[in-house]
Amino acid sequence: MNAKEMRECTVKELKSICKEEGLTGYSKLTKDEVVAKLIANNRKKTRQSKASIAPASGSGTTPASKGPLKDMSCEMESHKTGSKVETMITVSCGANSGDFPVCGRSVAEVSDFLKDVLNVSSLANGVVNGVKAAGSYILSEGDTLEFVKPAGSKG
Amino acid sequence: MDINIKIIGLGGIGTMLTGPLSRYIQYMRASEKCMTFIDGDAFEFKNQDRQDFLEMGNKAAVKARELSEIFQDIIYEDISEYVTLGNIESIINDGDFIFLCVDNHATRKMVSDYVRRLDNIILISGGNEYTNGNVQIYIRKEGSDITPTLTAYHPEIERPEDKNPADMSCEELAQSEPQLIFTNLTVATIMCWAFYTIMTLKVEPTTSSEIYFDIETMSVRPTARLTKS
Repeated sequence: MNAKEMRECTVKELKSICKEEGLTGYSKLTKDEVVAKLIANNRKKTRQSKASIAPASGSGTTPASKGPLKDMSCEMESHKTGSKVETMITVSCGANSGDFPVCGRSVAEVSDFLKDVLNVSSLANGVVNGVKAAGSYILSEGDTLEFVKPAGSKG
Repeated sequence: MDINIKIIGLGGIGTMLTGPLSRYIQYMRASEKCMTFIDGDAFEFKNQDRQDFLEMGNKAAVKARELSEIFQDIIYEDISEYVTLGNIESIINDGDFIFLCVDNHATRKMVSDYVRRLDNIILISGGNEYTNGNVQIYIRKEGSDITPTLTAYHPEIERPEDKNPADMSCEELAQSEPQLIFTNLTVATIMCWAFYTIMTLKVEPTTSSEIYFDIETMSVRPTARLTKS
């Protein structure tokens, strides 16, 4: 669907497409902003079909944003076979947990992208492998990430 | 082996805990079995949808009386006071096994800070919101932490915004948010898991020092964290 066709759709239809594409952060956007988001998503999909994404190197740095969650895959090249393997990292918050392709991303980025999926509070601390981690910590293969859900207050 | 259990808070979670725990302890092999209930609050009819008391009066006293008639191998004691800085040293002793079932972080913080000064303690703390909650297991042995303290990963407990009930006015005490009986029951159940694991299986749950649950997603997840963060 090109830009002209998108502008002929209703906002509701466009947001439905966003949902199908796995995009986030669109619920409060205007029609023009949603169209722009979908166009940007189409361009990224085109780029990704032509190139692989290399993981960020070194800790304490924040890699440039690469777009919605599904574009955050980190492909590690297997030295033995030369095949590319997507590295998944277990991310949890409270009772909710899942494996996501966030290797090479910072804790702060993952918090922002998964806040709706895992119901992550903006106040939740990030804990990597059982140890409190800064928002700038870059996740690497084998890490587990937890956003500590606040304790229940009532009883 | 002696069994000496203290339950602080006889609200929704505490009352769910006392019956099954008493029944299990009644039939455990031990030379002495003692359960102490601590609460400064009285039962109110508005809480009858979640709390089970056969008569009016202080919750700790009423529940101790009720259960002593059923489980006669257990010695029940009651302390009809809220835990405060003024009485905590006389209530909590080195070597205690404590279930903390209170409804405020201020008391959780106070108890957590106090038991860290003891050499040996087992503290099982539970809390909930409407449909989700958590249980924390703090074990200290011979002066060293085996699992993290209640406050180590929870700034909302380290710096509580609520108050100890002993510091609240009558108006403040009268206000309460609705809770779901099944949520209280789930917290109590997980606290019983911890008791069984530690006392009967003799396992220190270092890989599950905090357990979360969510009724809406029907999920339960244990988590392991380091004692030094």
